Formats: sequence, structure tokens, C-alpha cells
Amino acid sequence: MVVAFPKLKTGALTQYPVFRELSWPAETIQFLDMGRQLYMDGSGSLRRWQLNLSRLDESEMAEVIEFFTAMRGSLGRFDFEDPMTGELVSNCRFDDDELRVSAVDEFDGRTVLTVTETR
Amino acid sequence: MRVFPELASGAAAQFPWRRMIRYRSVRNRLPGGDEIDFGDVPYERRSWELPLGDLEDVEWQAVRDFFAETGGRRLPFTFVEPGSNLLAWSDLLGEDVWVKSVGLQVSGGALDPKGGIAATSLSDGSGWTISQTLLAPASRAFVASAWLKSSSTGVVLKMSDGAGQSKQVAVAADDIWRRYELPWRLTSAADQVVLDVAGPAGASVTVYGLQVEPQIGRSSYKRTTEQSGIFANAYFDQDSLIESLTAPNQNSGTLRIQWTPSPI
Repeated sequence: MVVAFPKLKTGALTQYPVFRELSWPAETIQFLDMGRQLYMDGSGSLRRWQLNLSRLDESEMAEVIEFFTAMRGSLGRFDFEDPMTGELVSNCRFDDDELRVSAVDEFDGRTVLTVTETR
Repeated sequence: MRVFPELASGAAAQFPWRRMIRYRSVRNRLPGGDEIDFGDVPYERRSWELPLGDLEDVEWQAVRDFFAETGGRRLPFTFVEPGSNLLAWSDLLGEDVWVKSVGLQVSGGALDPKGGIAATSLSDGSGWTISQTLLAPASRAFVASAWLKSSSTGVVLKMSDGAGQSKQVAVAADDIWRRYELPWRLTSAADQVVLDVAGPAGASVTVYGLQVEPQIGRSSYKRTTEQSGIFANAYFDQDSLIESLTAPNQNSGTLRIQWTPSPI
């Protein structure tokens, strides 16, 4: 069965606020004369998104859990639609091996997901 | 059968409650940013934190007795996850967990009431049944639900305890999708509940969203795969139970439970 990153019932991928981190990994060598040598540690920027989900109903929560389970935490790779640009980014994974879900009230499931782009 | 007790209301827990799922993998990151992963595939750990508040003395006594019976972390028990679908493979009725009568035609990929193709068609020339057995006490509160559509008479959604007690709801023969609901709360000593969809000879039905929940009223459909909401061999994740009495007949405390299919 093909599993895709679950969308909410509204069709939205996530809720506000959403955070995106762009990074350019680099290594720096600092010299005694305060000069420095810097070189890129990767071939380009990698993106990371933090999705804050709240007021999910039981079936939306179940879809998130099923997807996390299918990926076995950070092990599996999947295509992820950048919620800020709509770009489909391949080779993404969860940042963490642990998923915490709170059932705060009826129709109020909450969780935070962090998705990382990998090479 | 040692099973985590339900509350007097028939609820499995109180809001808010939390659950955690954890996997494990080793990751090597190369200088160019590439990653090589080694998954510890058998490892899985789930845990729950259940705050219970304002329980009557009788309810809290049941919790306390159960905690004492297990000796904290010492003995395993079956945990029925609150709000979950207790069926496994709820969309894939061809899986072995579903017991089918000989000759039953099971065809997945049928149009479902949500506009997808996750429904399953069932039919047979002779009387047929498809069922899944849940290993949980039949004395608990459950509610079964499913979308069913049939043009045949005699198709039923049924629950039983395997010991003579059963309830069922008939499916209307008008070929219209309806979500049927079957609440279950009977006095029974059986350690199982069986969900059936059955029909007479020549009858056919399309099924979607089969679900059994450990509560009185149904909620939205939760698709499941291999793991259902019943966790055998769960343990308490605590050796002590802290009780608080906030007023006469108002007891509170927090329970932590863990489960893993991995060797401990």
C-alpha cells in the first residue's frame, strides 16, 4: 500500500504557524591571526519544517500515527509538499524517532512533527 | 484475563491523555550530507499517560486493586487503547485476521462513501460471514460502526461474545451508503468479542470503515493496519501509585503504561 504524508480533512497539509529552517552546513577553521577558512559541508541547503497540529479529530490523529508507524519514525523516506511554496520535496524523513500525541479533549488532538529534507 | 479496567461510565480514559510511539535507528551522516541509515526494525515502544481525576471511591478502588494485582511493573496485562479502532486491517478484509466463510468473494478497491476506493465488496452464492475476534472482555462497553451498502435483504452487522449473546443491526436493502452503529454493553463473562458481517445465500454488500471502539458512542473512522488498539502484554511504567483525595469520593492519580513487541 502506498502511503503519502497525510493531509488534514480540509485538504490542508498543516496549520499556522508553520516554521521552515534553511541551512547551509559549513565548517570553519579559525586561525591565530583571526583569519578564517570556511568551506561548505554539503552540496546545498537542506530544509526542515516544523508542523504544529492542533484540534485534530480522531481520524486525523489516527492518520498521522499510521503514517509515522509506516515510516518507522525517522527511518522511512517520503515526498513532502513544502507548505510555504507547494513544491514537492523528495527524500524527506521525520526528524525524530519519537511521536508524542496528546488527546486534550474531544476533537482536540495535538502533536508537533518535524520533517527534514535529506540528500 | 488481566485487562486494564474501564471507568464506571464505560469510558476507557479521561481527557487529557497522552501517547508516545518510539522507534530506533542508527544514522551515519557523511561529509557531503548524505545519510546511511540502519533501522532497528524489531524495536518499537508505545506508552501512554492517563491522568484520572474525580473518580468515585468504587472506581478508584478498582484502579488501585488492579495496580496491586499487577504489582506495578511486574505482571503484564491487556491494554485497550482509548478512542482507538480495535480491529486490525480495517480496510483490507482479505487479510488473514478476517475469518471468512468458504467461498466468500472478497473484492477490494470498490468505491467508498468518501469518494475513494477503499471499500470492499462481499458476496457468495451460499450463506456467508466474515468476522474478526477481539481479545477483550465482553463485559466492557464497545461500539461497532461501519458504512454498508446493499441491495440484498438479510445482511447484518453483528457483535457477539462467542458464548451465546449477540446483537445485530440489519442493513437496509436500498443500495444507499449508511453508517450503521451497534453499541454493546452486556453482562458477559466471555474474554472475547466477535464482529461479524453476514448475509444469506446470494446476498452482497459493500463495506467501508469497519470499526470497534472501547466506548459507548462512535467517533470518526480510524483506519488501521497490522496493529489494532488492543495491546496484549502491556505493563505499568511505574512502581508506585500516587493517590490524591481532593474531596469526599473524589480520587485522582496518574497511570503510565508501556508496551513493546520487542524482546525486553
